[in-house]
Amino acid sequence: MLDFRPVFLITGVLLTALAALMCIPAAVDWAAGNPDWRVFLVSALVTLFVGVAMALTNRIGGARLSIRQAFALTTVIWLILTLFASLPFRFGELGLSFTDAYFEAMSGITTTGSTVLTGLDTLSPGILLWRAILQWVGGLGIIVMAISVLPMLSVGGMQMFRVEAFETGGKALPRAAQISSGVTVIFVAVTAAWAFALWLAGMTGLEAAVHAMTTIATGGFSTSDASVGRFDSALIDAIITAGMLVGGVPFVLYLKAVRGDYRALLKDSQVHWYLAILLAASAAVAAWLWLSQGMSVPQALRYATFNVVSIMTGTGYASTDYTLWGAFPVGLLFFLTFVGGCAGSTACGIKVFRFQILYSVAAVQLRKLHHPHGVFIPHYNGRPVSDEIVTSVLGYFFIFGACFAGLALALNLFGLDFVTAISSAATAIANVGPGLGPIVGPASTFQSLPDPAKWLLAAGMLVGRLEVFTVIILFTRSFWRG
Amino acid sequence: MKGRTILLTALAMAGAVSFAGPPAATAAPALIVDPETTRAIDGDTLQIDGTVLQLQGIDAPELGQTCVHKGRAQHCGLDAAYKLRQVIEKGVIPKIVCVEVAAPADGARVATCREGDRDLSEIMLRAGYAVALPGAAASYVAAERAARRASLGIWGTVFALPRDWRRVHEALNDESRDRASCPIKGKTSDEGLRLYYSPLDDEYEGLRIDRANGDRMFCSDDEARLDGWKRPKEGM
Repeated sequence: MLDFRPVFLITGVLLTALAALMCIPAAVDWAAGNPDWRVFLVSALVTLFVGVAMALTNRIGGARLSIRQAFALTTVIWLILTLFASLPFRFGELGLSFTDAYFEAMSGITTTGSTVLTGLDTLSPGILLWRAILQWVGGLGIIVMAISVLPMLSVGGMQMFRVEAFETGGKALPRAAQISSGVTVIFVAVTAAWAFALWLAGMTGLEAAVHAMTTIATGGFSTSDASVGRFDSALIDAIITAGMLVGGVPFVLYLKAVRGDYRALLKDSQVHWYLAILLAASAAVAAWLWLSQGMSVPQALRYATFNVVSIMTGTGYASTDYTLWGAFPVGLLFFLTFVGGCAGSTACGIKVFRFQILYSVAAVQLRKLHHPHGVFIPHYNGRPVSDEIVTSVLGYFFIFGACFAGLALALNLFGLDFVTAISSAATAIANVGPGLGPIVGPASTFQSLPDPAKWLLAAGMLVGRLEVFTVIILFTRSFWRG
Repeated sequence: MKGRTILLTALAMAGAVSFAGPPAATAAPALIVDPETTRAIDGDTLQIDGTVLQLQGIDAPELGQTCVHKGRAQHCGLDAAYKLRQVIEKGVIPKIVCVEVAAPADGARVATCREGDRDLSEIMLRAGYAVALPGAAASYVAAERAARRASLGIWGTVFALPRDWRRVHEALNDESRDRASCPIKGKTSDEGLRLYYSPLDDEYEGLRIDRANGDRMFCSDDEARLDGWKRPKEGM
């Protein structure tokens, strides 16, 4: 039997941190004279109590996590933190059902951005801030996990990003914990910079803080039903587009750059591919809007770039209904949903490096057809890729595809039409936000879906956010047998 | 969204004669309207430049109406209104075209409105935010059936048909009306105009109801219109 004590110990510690974060919206609501501050405070106290109890009752001196415990920990943290994070949604002014509250919290903490709420413009500042904080913490959490836990678990090729391989100027940096704290500082600094820029561009303090957090975390929650479209400002669109771009780049590279190694950021092939895909897709959509929809060139560029970056990075600000733009942009944006950003960023989806490896493998296969006796090795970032990593990545594609298909079929079983089911499954598992069609499209929310569909989608978000394997392995018999 | 234009093609109506056929060659010149003055009033009514249009073939829960989901009240009327507002607000390309199709009902003109290739009434039905009216087009009935089968929106709740809800609530006298069920504010302006406001209007929260001045609350926009109240044209 798996020893859960270290798992609950760490979960308990993180719950106390979550409780501390709940005090921020409590303070904001209190200052605004909104009675919901009591709900946040009581939620914080309950979370703190459970967190401290979990931590104290599971104390074990100096134990290290085994691989199995690390797998269990990853999923357990996300599930339990989401449960406590949903308390303010359930017991506050919103009074959401348990299903809706959990869906909203899961969508937040996985940086998905799908919502069941309407009338955001009239909500209290505390709730709006709490949704943003969840995404921000979720974004930071996934970066830290991508540095410290996922490489250790060798999930879907993530072993390539082991800390041991992390060097700057020939001098190896200390372990994951220090790198994580360095990245955290950068994450906070970047968010603060974007909040300031958005405030200068005309947002209120709350709007700027919320949008900065959900932009850098590539989350997509907003303060308005009209999302970023409410501001109707090309400048704000540009700032947010740049922020989403920044959020999709590996944060470790920023840390290297800050320490003087700019070349790591400039020479990283994953970043090159990431930018190239975004640029090509934005240009294609802009050309379509200009030529077939009669938009002016600046407008076409503005809307195309914003929406392409928003969808591909998994942010999903549904500020415009791009499904009205005709067949081509809808198809392109649907496929970009799966691509995501770079590994080690806040962005979601399959991740660019896996496409690079797949491309490299396919290129090798093609060359082998020409030269059956030749020896060709797939490369990534200028280095040869081992068979183990290739297998890992191919396995990831298969499991990701199988989960996506299974989720879509399950949604069909609950009566959802084809477009709604397919697009909801895609947007959940790739942690993007809006789906397609009249029910869950960019001009909609997930509010009207039946409860079982919301639970399925919440599960899909978790599976997608934790790199699929991490969750699926818990359902294998061999894992529990040890 | 400033660059967007909304096209209102209003067919010239000969008196109050019902017109059920397709838009004919007698269509009035297209009227291009500033989208900044286009608003959703509730889940089945929108206003384009001072003209109130009822979406054809559907009846959405009224603004104060609640539906019960697993023992909890949901604000399904407000939700429907927000849904219609989102659909209108989020188009960037000029796409909303409304065509009047029937005689005025409940003080509003009845129109089919399309956004691109989509019918707004059908969107509301398909997402489970409205019911199809008796005699509605087959496509509307099919959209409602699909939503009902998937338990979408109001179909996953216990709710009263909006027309029944209106009948019960509009029979209440002023004293029996609670603000939650009857949230529409009828406010007499400084110029003496009797104007009604939906909770979706920006100025709604700031309006104080002064009954001595003739102000009152309504349970539905239809009730306000039938009582002779108008929509504010500007400042929204």
